[in-house]
Amino acid sequence: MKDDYLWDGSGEPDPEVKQLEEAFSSLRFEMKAPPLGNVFNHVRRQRSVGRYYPTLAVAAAITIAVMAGALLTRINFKALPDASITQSYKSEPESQLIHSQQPNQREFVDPVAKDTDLIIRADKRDVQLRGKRSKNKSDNFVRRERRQDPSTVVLLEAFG
Amino acid sequence: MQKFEAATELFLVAENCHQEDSKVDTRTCAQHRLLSLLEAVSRGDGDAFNQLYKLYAPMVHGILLARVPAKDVDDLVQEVFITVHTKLKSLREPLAFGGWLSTLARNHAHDFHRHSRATEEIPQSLASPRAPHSAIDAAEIMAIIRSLPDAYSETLTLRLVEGLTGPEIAELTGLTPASVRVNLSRGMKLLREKLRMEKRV
Repeated sequence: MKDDYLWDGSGEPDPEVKQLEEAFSSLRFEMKAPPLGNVFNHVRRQRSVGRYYPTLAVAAAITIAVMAGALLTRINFKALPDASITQSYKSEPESQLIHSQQPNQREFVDPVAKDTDLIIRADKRDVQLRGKRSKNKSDNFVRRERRQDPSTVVLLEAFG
Repeated sequence: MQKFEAATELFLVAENCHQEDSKVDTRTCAQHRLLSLLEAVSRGDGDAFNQLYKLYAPMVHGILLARVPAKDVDDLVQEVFITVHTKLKSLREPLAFGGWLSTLARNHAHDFHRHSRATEEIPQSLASPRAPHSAIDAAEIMAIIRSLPDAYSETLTLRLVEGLTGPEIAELTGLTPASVRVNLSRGMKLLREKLRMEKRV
């Protein structure tokens, strides 16, 4: 049958159909573009990263806010020297020495005193004996002062 | 994935596709292959998408060529497959993929005409030095084919330009083989008449 060639290419070729096929060969589909699957794999990777952009942005904003807050707090502490000194006393290990304005005297936090506002001034001799007070109380000579009012002597102790 | 699970019976039948003495018909095996491909594509498998592209790109190209100037067809083919990639999840019945893809290609052709200015394709005799020796100008005949009813022009383009056989056209587009045969026969008859008229002019 003549239509067989048109239907499935079998049988005797129809010259007119054959001529048309040859004429249209230049219009036939060719795989010119790169496979789209590779492009989609690339897009998928980009999307998988892009999916986390909002979360990353929020995390970055929180980090920046925390850093800015910490920086501002630090600046504020520097603006208050007394508070800084007090803080350093509290954070230092007990009986650690800090130079005072007077060369012969040093300050340290009394480990015995529960009131942290109390600062104990001691002579160099007493400093050398720190920690041994319980054993040899007679060597301890401490003078406690109220930090808010250095001129007021709170306690003067002389053991032995 | 439930829509793919619905075709479990087909998968079970198609397990025999690879056996030489298989009694399963080739159409069932082809459907099984299509389901496997679509399932892989829906999982994001790029290689599966490449296979799907190679399988269906000629059909999409032919459908578009029957409606759109040849110079714009390649870009539109890419656009159609990008749409396939993004909208595949909206396909309810995987076995109707061919019909769905055909409709998608036709819609893209309609959109192209809606958004583009009217253009006229340059005859091959002007574009190529080889053309004057050719008895038939492909662009002119293509214009005649486009003037035929859509069902005829599409089927004829797939047969004459893309070189697909009738059964292959039926398989890819989801049309029944009988419909394709009728479209080819009647379309070719109309084309012959129009070509004769052109020659007389």
